[in-house]
Amino acid sequence: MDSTVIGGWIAAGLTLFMFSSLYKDNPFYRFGEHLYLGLSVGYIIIKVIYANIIGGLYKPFFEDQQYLLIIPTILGLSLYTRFFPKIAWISRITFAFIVGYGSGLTIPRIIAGGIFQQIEKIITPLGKNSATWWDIFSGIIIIIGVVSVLIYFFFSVEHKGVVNKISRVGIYFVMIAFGASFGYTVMARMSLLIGRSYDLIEFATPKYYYATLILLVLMVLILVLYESTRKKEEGSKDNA
Amino acid sequence: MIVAFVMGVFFALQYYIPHPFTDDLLTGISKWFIVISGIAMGLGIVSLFYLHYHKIKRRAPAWGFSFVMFIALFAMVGIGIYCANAEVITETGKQTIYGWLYQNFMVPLQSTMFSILAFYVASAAFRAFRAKTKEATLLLIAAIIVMFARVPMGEYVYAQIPTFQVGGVTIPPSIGDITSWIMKTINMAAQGGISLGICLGIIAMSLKIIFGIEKSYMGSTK
Amino acid sequence: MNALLKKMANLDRRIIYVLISLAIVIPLLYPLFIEVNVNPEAKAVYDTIDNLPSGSTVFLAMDFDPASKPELYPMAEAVLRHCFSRDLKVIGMTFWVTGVGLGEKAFTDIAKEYNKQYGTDYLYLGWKAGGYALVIQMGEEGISAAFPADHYGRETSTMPILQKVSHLKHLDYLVELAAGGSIGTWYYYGKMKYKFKMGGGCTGVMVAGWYNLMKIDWINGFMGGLRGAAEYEKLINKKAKATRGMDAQSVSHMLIIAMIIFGNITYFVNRAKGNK
Repeated sequence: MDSTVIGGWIAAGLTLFMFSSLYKDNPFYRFGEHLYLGLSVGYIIIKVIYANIIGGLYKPFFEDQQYLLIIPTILGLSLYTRFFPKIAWISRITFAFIVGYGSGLTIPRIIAGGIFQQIEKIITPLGKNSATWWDIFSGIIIIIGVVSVLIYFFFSVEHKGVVNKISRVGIYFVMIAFGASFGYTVMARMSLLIGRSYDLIEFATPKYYYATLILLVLMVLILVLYESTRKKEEGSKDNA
Repeated sequence: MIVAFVMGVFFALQYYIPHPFTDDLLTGISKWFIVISGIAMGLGIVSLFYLHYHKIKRRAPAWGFSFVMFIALFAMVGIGIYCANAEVITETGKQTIYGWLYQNFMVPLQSTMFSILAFYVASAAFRAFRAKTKEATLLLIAAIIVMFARVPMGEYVYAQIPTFQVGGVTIPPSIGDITSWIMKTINMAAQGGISLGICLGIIAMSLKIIFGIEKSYMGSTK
Repeated sequence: MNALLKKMANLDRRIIYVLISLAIVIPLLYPLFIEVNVNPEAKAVYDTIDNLPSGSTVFLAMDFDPASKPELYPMAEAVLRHCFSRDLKVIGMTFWVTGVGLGEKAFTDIAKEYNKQYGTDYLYLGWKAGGYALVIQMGEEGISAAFPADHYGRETSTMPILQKVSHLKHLDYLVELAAGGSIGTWYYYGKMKYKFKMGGGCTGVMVAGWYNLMKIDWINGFMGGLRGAAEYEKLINKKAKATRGMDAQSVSHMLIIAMIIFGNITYFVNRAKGNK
């Protein structure tokens, strides 16, 4: 049996383990959950060691003589002082460094790319020579929508009178947008299930010696046995 | 706080001062950030070790599964080092055991975890999605239009409705045009408003961090 | 009748699970072959890549992990097939550490189909921690400065593919396949300064927000969810997993619409009877 077929059996088995949680929480699901946690953390450790530690620190430091990298190394290692309460304050320097750097970079970029650009793109279509009546109508709807949604989310002012009326309009826009979002979310979740189902169907073919079907039957039998044993134990505990 | 202030103000102004000195400093500090990010990834890993080690030590409920976690973790690390981080042997194109573990263990487990949500979404849609108010009705109608129109079967069914032309305009418009208008006008307006609000919120939070008003990122003082 | 309606309104969730499973599995086994119509958003990405001169370089940011594989992996395969069929060069990387293996598999499998040479026709950089700092470094110092070694540990500075395209500003097109917010990283720290063209693909959950991004010219087009992948497969005349999945998508959507309508009918009928 070659590794592809063995891999198919394992993949089918683990998929069914995870799907068993739909019935109720059970040891198969817990096993799969913890297995995934261990494997993914182990995978991440390897990637970090090779990409960042060896590739990003060891080689530049020792082979390219970039000795200044000792500073971020010390800063990075100081993060681990968080686990020792007496010297945990040292880690705050690195956090301040990271957060200050990120905040500083973010502000001008969000102003230019997030705010000014959005406002420009909302307003300019109305001024285009090639705009049709329908484009102008849609453009006005967009402006009304953006303004009313912003007013709806502005909670520093009490929502009464004119503000209340405008924010009601905003709510309607938001509800339609969230409805559309929900529709797409259903699409996304179904797509994920389609992907797994496709693989399970493939693993049920003769190439994989009907792995899905055999494992499904085995798992159902074991779960039935497990449930009946558990119920018997609970029953005898109650009698005792 | 002084560190956050200096870093924040400098890099905020750096965007408006495209001088080679500031560009070099930006590149240099970015390199430092990459090194710190790599080292910082270990924080979560150490916390996980700590949590599960204590679970085993205390014999907490289901502590045996923590053993499974540790065995899987060390096995993956050991095999990863043995295969030198290579999922595929570059000379032959053959998959290594490290790559085989990734494709046949990690990918099915993670994919399936998230695909379970499909069942929950369907169950929630049936049991909880009720047109109790005007707003909920709008949400429901928009959701149904999108779900119907964004699949080939919906488009095919709608296309069977006879159409006629009125002054160059097709009546009724195609379901794709209707959905497209909803997405590009009403949805876009709402998403634009929400996005502007988020951008303003991010700027406000960043300024609070730089000026030391917001200190929660530093963690507990105890 | 009253009791029946009440029972239907509180249908056991496991019956719903079985119905959903059947709605997905049956169309996968017995496809309906309903044609997928192409939307302008996906067509825009296709047209951009199709109009690039031979030898141009496309950067494929595969920012997703196995959780989003069914939606975004077919997009990656379709874009790679399109690029390789047009003799375009492709550089790939990811910000998601658990998605590295997926990117590697996509590049390896599709490049083999088109007999493409690693280092000359395509390059896979893999993953590195750093996020936006990596984008800044790729833009300022160069791609090989940010990734001195590729995913396989080979030195990138001498690779033929990076001789013409050493920095982000040299890119002809960047395709961002996103399961999270990395489109913002590529825009704010990449496109805003280095002015390359950008398009993308996203999961279904993010589609509503990406219409806004297209409106404000962050991206010139995008593929939305499994449907977007199916549209792209139709455009490149290579129908694969995404197209096959659309029939199951259709049936499952119709089932959910029916369940929502039925649920509301039972709710209103029960409410009316309860009020009497």
